[in-house]
Order: sequence, then structure tokens, then C-alpha cells
Amino acid sequence: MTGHDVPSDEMRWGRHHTDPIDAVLGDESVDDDLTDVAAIVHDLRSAYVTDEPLPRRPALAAFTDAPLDDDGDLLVAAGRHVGHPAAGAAGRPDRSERLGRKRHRMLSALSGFVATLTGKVVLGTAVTAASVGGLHAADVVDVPALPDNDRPAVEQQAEPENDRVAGDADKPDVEGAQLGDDKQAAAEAFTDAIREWTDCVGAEAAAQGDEATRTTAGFDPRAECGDRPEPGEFGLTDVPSQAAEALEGTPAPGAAPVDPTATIPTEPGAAAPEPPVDPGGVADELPSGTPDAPDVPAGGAGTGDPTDGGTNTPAGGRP
Amino acid sequence: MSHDDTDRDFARRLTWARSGDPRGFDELVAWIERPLVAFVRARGAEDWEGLANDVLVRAFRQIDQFEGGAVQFRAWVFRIARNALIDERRRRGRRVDAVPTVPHELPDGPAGADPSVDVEQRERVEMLLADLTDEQREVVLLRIVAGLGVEETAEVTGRRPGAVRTLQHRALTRLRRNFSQRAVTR
Repeated sequence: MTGHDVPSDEMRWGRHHTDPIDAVLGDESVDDDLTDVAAIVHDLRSAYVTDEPLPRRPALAAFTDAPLDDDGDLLVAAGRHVGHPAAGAAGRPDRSERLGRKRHRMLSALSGFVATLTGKVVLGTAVTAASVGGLHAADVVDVPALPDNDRPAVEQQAEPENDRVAGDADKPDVEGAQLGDDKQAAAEAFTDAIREWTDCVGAEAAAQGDEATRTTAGFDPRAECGDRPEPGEFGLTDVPSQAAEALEGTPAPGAAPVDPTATIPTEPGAAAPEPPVDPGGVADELPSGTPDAPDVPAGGAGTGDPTDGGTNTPAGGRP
Repeated sequence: MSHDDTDRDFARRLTWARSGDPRGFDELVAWIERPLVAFVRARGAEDWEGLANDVLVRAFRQIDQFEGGAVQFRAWVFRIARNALIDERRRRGRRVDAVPTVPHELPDGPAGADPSVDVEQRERVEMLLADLTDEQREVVLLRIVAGLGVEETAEVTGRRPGAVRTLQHRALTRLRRNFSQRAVTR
């Protein structure tokens, strides 16, 4: 230390110590000049320094109170207790807390996305696609781009026409035959109308959306593009009931299967048709002239697949 | 106890702690808890007990990386404490409009102060400290309340030892003057 570092008063305060605090804390006899410093040091230490030990919280106790076995040997290294109640406090947050934070972040991101213009368009398109797909699955409409629901798409594509096994000999060629021409046309028109309406909503929303916030507060798709096309407007009057059944899933075991191609009365007082019990299938009993019933070729029967909905004839059950 | 004894004891505690032995941590806590608690209380920590616990846990989690003797360890722990106090003050600044800059501006003295300490004496000390700048107050408390040396205080505050001595000298000069004036008026 050079002489420049030492204030002149410090030199005056003591010959043995250049630092008055060291002199006072050293419990050495202090010069008269340092009596007031000693009093200050005493007051400060009396005000704040106590003999009470620090209460140890779980995170600290995880280090100081590690578990020992009966011989007094350490079971787990202190502060690294696995399963110790304080382990979470001492280290990372526990698993449930981390999952909760992750879930919260995901939900925040999702809701933020839906609030944007792009999110609304994507959500609307997804809902529409799901509606059309559901109608296709219920055999109400036929969308060529989607696989038929009675057989897996892969199997259908891989199987040549003349390669059918004997058990499939009685399967009818239902493509283009289950629905009448008029119904097919109506379904296609409905699909086109849905597509147009969705495009219109997307375009109008993009035009009206706030570029800065990417939101479309107050945007009403009906005001801009009219009501969304409904299947009933295209003569697809049996859509709601059949769609509901399709959504409810497969019938309970032992329940009579429901033929989605059967006519469902729309008159309030009309009686519902009896569930088919004939192994030959209800499709055979439908009057061929019924407008809502598609023409099924004679001999058309079930596939044996309980989910085909048309018949309940097991494969090879018919002569 | 001589410096050699202190260093030997510290080396033993550190070896135990590094091997995960709770006795090592327990003795390190017992060795440093009183000056640490005194310092964080004197600096006006809102939850001095929690803050002191947190400081020790932070140090123990990184004890494998620590290198040095007792003096370095003490300076290291008080440096962690100083940073924790700054963080706490920032948090309080966001939570309330005005942060008391001197202890005596708090309604009931320093938050978390030990009620067993004489209230009148504490007020007297706070009146004395209130006349110092924050840097002077920090150096005085590290030197007198925490019992750190000049070199350790310099290490904790990130200053040169000469700067610490200058701050301490100015602080003591003020404290002595106020102390004398108060003695005269009493």
C-alpha cells in the first residue's frame, strides 16, 4: 500500500493499525481518538448481529439434513436427495409444475393463433372439411378424393378387379350404385357450394382484417357471404339424422344394424322403418322407385363387414 | 483462532460438503450464518430469512466449482448476497412506487428486524446511517456488521481496496461527526 492510499485521518487514528475498524474489531485497546468509532461499531453490531441461528427452510435443509442409515453413513449425497420432500425446492421444479407451465404455454399459443386472421381461416376450413368428410363417411355424399369407408383405402387400391377371393364374390360393386344420379349431383353441388362459401369467407376476412393486429374483430361471415350452404338446400334431406347416427359410432353389440341408404321419413308422424332382420339385407326390400333410396343392383348384399351399414350378411353367407 | 486453524477447518468443511456429506454444509452454515443474516437485515431485505437461505442454497449448488480458502468463500457468499439484495430491490421497485433508500424511511425500521433488538437503539443507528450514501453504507455494513476485511469488501463490491478505504474513511468521518453532535444535543 502506498502512502497515497491512506487518508491522513487514518494515520492519526492509530500507530499500530491503519484501519480504525480493524483496530476496534480486533478488541485491542483503542486510542482516545477511536472511542467514538468504537461506540459506532458497538451500536451497529448490537442493532443487527444476533446469536439466533438462521431458520433453515426446506431447500437449505436438503443440504444440511441428508438422510443417514442406521450406522450413521450417508444414504444419499446432501442436496441431491431423490424423492426427498425438499428435492424440488432445492433443485428443479417438480414434474407436475413443469407440465403445468408447458400446458399453459401451449394453450396460450393456441388461443393466440385462433385470435389471428390466419387462425380463423384455418379453423373455418378445418370445420368445413370435417363436415364434408363426415358426410362422406356416412355415405350421404360421395367425394371422389376420399377413400370409401367400407374397405381400407390401401387394400382397395392394391386389389385388382379380377383378383377377388371366393369369399368376396358376393360383394356388390357399390361405387356409383349406392347413390342415385340425382343425389350424386346434389351432393356435388353441395360440396361446390361449401367450397365457394369458404373461399368467400377467407377472401372477405383477409380484406377486412386488421393488418397490424392480424385480427378480424367484428367480422360477420354471414353478412359478407350469406348463410353457409346447408345440405337441405340441395335436396339432401336425410343428412341430419344419418350424420347423427354416423357420429354416434357403431351400433351396440347385438343391435340391429341401420342401413344408411334406407329412406328415413321426414314427416313428423311417419313411422320409422323396422330394423332389418333379414339376412338378405334390407337393401333388397327397398322399393326401387323410392326417390331417396339409391338403386341397388339385384343380389347386392353386405360385405360381411359389420361397419358397412348396408347389410349384416357375413361374407360368403349367401349362395 | 489463528488464520491457519480457520483455513484448516474450512478445508475440512469444504471437502465434506463436496462429497455430499451434510456435516460439511451444516458447519459451513453455522460458520457464516450470523454475519450473513446481520448484513441482509441491515441492508433492509424484506424477507431476510428467505434471502439468507436462498444465498446459501445458491452457493452450495455451485460448491463444486468453488476454489479458494475461507476468506475467498466468505467473499463469494457475500457477493451472492449482494446480488440477491439488488434483485430484491429491483423487484420491490416494480411492485411499489417508491423504495425506501435508507432504512429509517421504512415505517417500522428495517423489514424483518429482530424485535428483540432495542427499538430505540436501532432507530439511533438508522439515523446515523441515513446520512451516508448507499455506497458508503454498504461498505460500512460489510466491514462492521459482516466483519469482512478491506480486501474481502473490495471483492464483494467489485472495487479496488483503495476505493473501499476511501469510502470507509468518508463514511466514518460523517458518522463520527453526527455521533458527536448527537451526544452534545442529548
